[in-house]
Amino acid sequence: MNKTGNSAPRPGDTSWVDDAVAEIDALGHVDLTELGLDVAFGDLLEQIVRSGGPEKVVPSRRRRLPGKAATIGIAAVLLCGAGAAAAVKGGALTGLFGQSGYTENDTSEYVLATSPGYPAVARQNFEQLLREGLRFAPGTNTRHVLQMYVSEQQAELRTLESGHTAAAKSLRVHGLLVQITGIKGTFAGLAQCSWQEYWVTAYTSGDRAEQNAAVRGMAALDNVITVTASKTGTFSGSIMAETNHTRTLLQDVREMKDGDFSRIKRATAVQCASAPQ
Amino acid sequence: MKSLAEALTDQELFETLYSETRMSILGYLLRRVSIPTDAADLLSDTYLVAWRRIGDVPEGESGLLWLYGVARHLVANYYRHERSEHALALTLRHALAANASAFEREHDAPFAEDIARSLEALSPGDREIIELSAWEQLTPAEIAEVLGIKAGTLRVRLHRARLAIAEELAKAGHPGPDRLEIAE
Repeated sequence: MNKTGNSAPRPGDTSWVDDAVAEIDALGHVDLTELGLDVAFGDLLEQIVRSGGPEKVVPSRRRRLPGKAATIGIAAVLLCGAGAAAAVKGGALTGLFGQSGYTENDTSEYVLATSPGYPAVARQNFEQLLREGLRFAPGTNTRHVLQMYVSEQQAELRTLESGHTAAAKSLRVHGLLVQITGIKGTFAGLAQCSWQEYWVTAYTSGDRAEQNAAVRGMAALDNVITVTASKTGTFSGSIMAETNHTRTLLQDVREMKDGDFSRIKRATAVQCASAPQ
Repeated sequence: MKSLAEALTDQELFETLYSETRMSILGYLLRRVSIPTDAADLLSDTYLVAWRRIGDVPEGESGLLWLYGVARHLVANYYRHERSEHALALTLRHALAANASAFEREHDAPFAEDIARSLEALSPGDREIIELSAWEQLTPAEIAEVLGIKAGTLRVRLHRARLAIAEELAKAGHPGPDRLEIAE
């Protein structure tokens, strides 16, 4: 019997496809309830509740920040001034920074992604990364990468805002804050996609030299050291490490070296589906 | 400032939501992230959002759909490297790491590679629709709520995505519903 409960599918009925797809469900053979996760779940619940209280409703465009309850209170006050300034200048910088040791751990500045000034901030950080050594695969039009990133990001935001979900409503009311490190991490990710796609193409055509070039280009991403402003000055580090992506980057590099075509192709399809060329 | 009674209600609401949905959300994340410990971090992030926005979380079964929506965006950010690792989920990370072998994705079902390939050929959006239907067993109306699109639009996209997969599988020699019937 198929998922719909019909023992004999009707002509043109494609619901059986779901049953076929279910056959490759990664958890098809796993019963999560038998893994003894109750203690870990209980510990996580306790940690989350202790991390701070639910946020209060913040009026107007004042976006709530992650962090402990005390941080939220300070942030709301600060954001009054920043919001007023942004309204005059159309700028996206908030003057608010993440705090080390809180859930974000990232001490870079918060940027209002829904602000008209956001594309300029994105461009500034993209150009900085290029100066700091971020390299895309040969044939990549970096100007196009930036343009596509901004236009797709803005289009995605408009789509998210126009939905009927609670998340869409929250986005319309509060806007969306992202951190500078996150923006830089996205560009680093797009660079990684360019190298993965370059490697897939080279592998398909059997070009060993270009495969090796792609491996070197990918590995070099881990050496891009970026300088970022924080509340107390600046901090610097590998952009991959700053976004906690070194491990997966190096794993991808290893798999490329090993010639694991199916794994890299699958990862590229999943991670880089909308990456601009 | 909230009264103690209100605060307790928030916490009780959250604990109920958490206990009723955590397995489903963990399953969703494990299916989409190849590293189980990363799924633990994303689970932690998902419920941190829910805890902070408990006032926005719809009641009843829609709460699970709201969480799928949050988890979906976090997974997208994860693949864009916009995520942070933190200590909240340390115990769960260890527990999942200890069970890592259970999550290894070796499919021995006939046509598994063809099915995976046909799924990859879909657009990311349509792939998500099929996966929510086949893996999370959501109805079209529920998927539409998760994705924030109209149910009618969703049904059309679901049907087209299924057709596309069926066509690809037919090319690969998959007998379609007949094989599944026999398998029962």
